[in-house]
Amino acid sequence: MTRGIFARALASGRGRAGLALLGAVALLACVGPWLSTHGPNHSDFAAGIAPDGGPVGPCRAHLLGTDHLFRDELSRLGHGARFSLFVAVTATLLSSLIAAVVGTVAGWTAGTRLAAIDHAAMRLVDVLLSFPYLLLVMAIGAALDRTGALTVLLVLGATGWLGTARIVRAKTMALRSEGYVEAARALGGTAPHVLRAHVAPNVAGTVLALSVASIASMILAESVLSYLAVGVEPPTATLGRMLQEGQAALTLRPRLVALPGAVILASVLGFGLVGEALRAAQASEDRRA
Amino acid sequence: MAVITRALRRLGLSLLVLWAVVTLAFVINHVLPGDPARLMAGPQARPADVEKLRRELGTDRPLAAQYASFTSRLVHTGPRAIAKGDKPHASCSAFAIVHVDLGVSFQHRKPVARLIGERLPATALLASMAVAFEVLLAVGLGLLAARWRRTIVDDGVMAVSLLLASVPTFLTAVVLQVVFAYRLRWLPFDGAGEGAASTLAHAVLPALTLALYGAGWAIRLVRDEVISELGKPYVRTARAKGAGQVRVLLAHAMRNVALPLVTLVGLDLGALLGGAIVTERIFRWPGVGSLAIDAVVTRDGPVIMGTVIVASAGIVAANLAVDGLVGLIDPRTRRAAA
Repeated sequence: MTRGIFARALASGRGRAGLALLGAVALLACVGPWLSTHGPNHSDFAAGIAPDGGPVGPCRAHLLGTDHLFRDELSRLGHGARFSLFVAVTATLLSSLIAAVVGTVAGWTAGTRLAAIDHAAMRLVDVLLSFPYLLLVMAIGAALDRTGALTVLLVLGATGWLGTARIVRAKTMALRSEGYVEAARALGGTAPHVLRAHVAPNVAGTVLALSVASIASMILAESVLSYLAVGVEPPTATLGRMLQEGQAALTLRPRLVALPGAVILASVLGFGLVGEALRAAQASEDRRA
Repeated sequence: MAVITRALRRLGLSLLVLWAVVTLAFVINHVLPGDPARLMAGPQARPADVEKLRRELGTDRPLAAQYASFTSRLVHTGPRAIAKGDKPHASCSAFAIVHVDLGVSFQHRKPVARLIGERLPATALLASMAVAFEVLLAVGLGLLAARWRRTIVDDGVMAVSLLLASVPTFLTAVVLQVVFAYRLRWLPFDGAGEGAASTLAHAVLPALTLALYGAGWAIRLVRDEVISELGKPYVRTARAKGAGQVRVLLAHAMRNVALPLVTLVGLDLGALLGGAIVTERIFRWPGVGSLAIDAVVTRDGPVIMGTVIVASAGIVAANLAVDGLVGLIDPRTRRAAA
């Protein structure tokens, strides 16, 4: 069932455009560091300096030029893209898992004898939704002194499940009154069995579509954190920090802002487009059922 | 009667959420490592001095006692005006007889409530301007796309809205700065300016930055809602009675779209009232957001807690206000809600 949605989503124009963008970013992440002879944190004081003393523009030694510390831009972009994708995908895995569990359990218990579980879960969502999470992440980051990739992805994953959990809850509540679910329960199916065999497969498509869209917002969130210098410590290359560093010489070397900006934009748009195509496919699937 | 009990229940839940946020902010602030007394005294301070400072700040007391004194002082009653030498109310901000006390900033040595109070007008100006721009963009482009749906106009508007929702605000901000401040020199680059006209001019670019991001979502909402309204019987009736295209869109369909739009924009406003951290920082706008990030950098615990609480209060208040407004705009919701 999920495979059909994938096929249909990828056949649409939006899905294809999104995939093309993601392909370009993935290519950069894989090939970028390999194409450049310099490491991402290596300052090249020989070939990386222009005659005016500033960083060199695109040339044979540095295909996209160097940054303000004469480090290879292409290599840094590739490593930055790798980092962004890694953090966004793992944080989304974590948040989708939490959302799926909390959403189905809350939806399953809503309106039954165990409604207290649903109430507790939904109040927790209310509280976390009214919490300015960027401040929360910044405060944790500042207090921990050194923030690594693990801190960033744990915080993003632990705060990113709220919206998805609400939608999964609503979907589970709708499923509970479906004929086949009622039949399975009437035939003596235990709650874990019915949830696993009948509810989970039908919730999976929704979670998948929302997850892909959520990767986009995770990439945005990670870039904001590294832009504000509360993400991972330097000199690790992250797209947000590269953009922030480039801003100092914005009008002199716009390339140092435009390149990381373009990579961020391409990955957010790519996941956004594929997510939307998946959602549209899922919606038409729901209508047919 | 039912309306009143429902409103009271809603208010009670909101207060519960706020209390939970206050507690969560307190726990995060106190469980995390870092000793404010140590930080304030500096690396050269003698242990005895650090100990003395700790006693002054009250951070030597057990966590439960600190929590009790923080929450009991948070909102309380007191005299209308606070006298200069009034020790018990030294860190309060008074609204008539209701006092708000968020403690004293380690860094500024000033009451947190007063610090935030000084920054709130700037943030409120920015937030309301941003929301005004956002509504203009959403209604304008959304109607355009709905009127010419499935044409190149619609495709163009949808592409633009997806793009707007995908660009991080720091990138939008930089592009706007380069184009309108650096190249064209129409508007100031950053800062706040003095006097009403200059302040407004300084607020345009940051407000536009925030509006463009929000508009990405709002444009799609208006377009989708207008299209679904246009398929309804009352629109057909209006058309049959001779209403023109413009009248159908503005007088009939738009009125029903106001509801979801108010909800979306109201929640945006609430979130923005807590301070737009990234945008305020890039444009050096002296609002609550830049106060918050300064507090994070200098580890000013009371200010971090204070801004978190104020930001959450904005979100919670916006939720309440949106619920109330929706009830006012749409008489159907008053009956339908059970």
